[in-house]
Amino acid sequence: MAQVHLRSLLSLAGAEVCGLAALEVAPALSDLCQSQSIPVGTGVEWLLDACRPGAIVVATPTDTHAGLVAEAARAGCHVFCEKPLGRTAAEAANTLSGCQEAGVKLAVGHVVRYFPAYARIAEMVKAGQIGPPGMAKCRRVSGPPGGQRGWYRDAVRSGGLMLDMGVHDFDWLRWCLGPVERVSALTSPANLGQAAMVVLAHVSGAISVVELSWMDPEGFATAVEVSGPKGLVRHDSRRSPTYLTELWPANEGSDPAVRVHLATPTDDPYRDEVAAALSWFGGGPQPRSTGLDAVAAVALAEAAERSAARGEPVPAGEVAPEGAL
Amino acid sequence: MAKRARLPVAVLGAGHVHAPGYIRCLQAHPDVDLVGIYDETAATARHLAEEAGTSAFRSVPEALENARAVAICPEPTRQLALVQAAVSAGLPVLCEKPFGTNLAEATALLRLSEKVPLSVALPVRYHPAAVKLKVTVQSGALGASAAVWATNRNSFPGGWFADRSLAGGGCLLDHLVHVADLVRWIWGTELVSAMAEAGTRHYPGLEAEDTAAVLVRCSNGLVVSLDPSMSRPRGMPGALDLTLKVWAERGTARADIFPPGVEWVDEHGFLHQEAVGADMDRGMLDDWVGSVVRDRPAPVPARDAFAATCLSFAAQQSAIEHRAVPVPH
Repeated sequence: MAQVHLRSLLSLAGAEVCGLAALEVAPALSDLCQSQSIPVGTGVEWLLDACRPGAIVVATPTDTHAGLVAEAARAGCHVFCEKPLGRTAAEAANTLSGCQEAGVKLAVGHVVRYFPAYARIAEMVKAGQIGPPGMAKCRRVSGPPGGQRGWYRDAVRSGGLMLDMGVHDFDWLRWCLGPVERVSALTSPANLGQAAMVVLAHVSGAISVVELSWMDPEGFATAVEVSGPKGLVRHDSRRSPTYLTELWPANEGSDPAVRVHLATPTDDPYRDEVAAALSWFGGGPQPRSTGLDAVAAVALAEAAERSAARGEPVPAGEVAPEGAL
Repeated sequence: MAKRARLPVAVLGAGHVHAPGYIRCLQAHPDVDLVGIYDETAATARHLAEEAGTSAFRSVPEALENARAVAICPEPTRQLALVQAAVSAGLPVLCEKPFGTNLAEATALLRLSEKVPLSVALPVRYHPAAVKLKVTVQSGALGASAAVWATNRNSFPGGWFADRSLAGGGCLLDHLVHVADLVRWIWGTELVSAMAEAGTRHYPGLEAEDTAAVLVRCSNGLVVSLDPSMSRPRGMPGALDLTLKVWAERGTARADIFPPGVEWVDEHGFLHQEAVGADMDRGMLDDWVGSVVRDRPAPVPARDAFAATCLSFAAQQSAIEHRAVPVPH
């Protein structure tokens, strides 16, 4: 995601990129930095000391988010952190409270809230267009994940399918249908690739189903539907007229391309989410998702993992910290 | 022209929404003489008999005396008594789903099926897409299957579905059995346990769940999600769906039993869909009639319907108790 966010930042008036730190810089990213005269270094210490940023964007593997955000907070930097906020709910909650204590703002990249179809559906549902929502279904599929050195595939680092993919839908469903009371989940046998299904019982009485797969030969796609007594609204990225962006892998032969379906060529939810965060850092309104939302989304993924392991429904309160159901 | 001896078939109980479709198929069947229709609600029998150009029976014995086989298709809670009557008369039976509205009824039906050939109306087995999926899975082309995402949704049908004393339950009773049967039939696996949530927000005042989500664990490791909700707005094109999305080692497969077919948009801009092709009701009734005429075993055995229907009972209990519930055997 580093390249996506860097391009967004470069396109936004009012932001200046003062440096980029990475353990390993992909050639395309390195070229981009060179052409824009952006200094490149290796450690977060270097970035904070030498470049003196007002805010940083964290786009590293999930298990490094907590440490990097904490260092930025200590240096008084606002932070935009790629989702998920942490590997566990407890870690994510710690990260959030660390930022609050340090007096810095923490925005998290729950980009689905900025995808036009998802934003529109949430708006219609909240406006009562289908009546009180009763049932929602989110599907999110892709091929086996890539990522530098395959860290996505390492569940210890990424949280696997449930956290890495599911967190998007968990967050969006909480946004749209409200807090969750109970989580039930199943995962496919580990030796056969990865598919998972999660049922959320919302406090309102609504039910959500989240179905996730890393086994799709056709690549990335999402679908969403919400129904209620007065109708239903839905969107399917494969059925809708889409514009397709393909981002080539950083290293030849390493990872499959990330493909992004957009409703129209001008939509760029990734730029919109970063723009909203920067505006907030500068005194503007809070972005669509709060730090507490981000903690709650991680908690739902963790509850789902726990349910799948235990084979029983799990009360969301068992995992989610107070106030983040 | 010499008339072939045709099988005299009576329809015993016709209150179920599937009855008119079965009656049409029986009436058109070259080997069947549709001798008449009985229903506890006399007006239902009269109306359907008039439409089909056959007699309306006024009592169960009258129907049984005139038939050599019966298709039993009433509202769910009226089913067991009619099957008992048909079995006492020693007649082969085609029995509508669900196979009992609770475990005691389902067990009673299973016992009855030991006395006469009893086949259960699970027509989706006869849909070409289901058959194709079964053949593909069993050929090994997909490798081992890891997960299935299934839907079998519709709009709230109204009528007796709103009356608990006739329907016997909500969407967990009405709409799990088809997918449950397909999973057992295609993968040759047992349904082990269910976790379910049930909702009541689409049709406030309904005495049963109108929405639900079910997660099923199978004996071969396969995991299944199943949405049986009555969550489609009434009049929506494609409101009734039955889809299976299979995730497997070597790829994925999708069966869509009610694909959009022909889509059209009317002068007001409303989208309509019409199914085309495959008539699975006819396939099922042909097979059942053939089995009776040729004295063969029931094509859709009662023990399969029992095992599939038991998922409903486990899911109902799970939705109340918020725990994983073993599927009764």
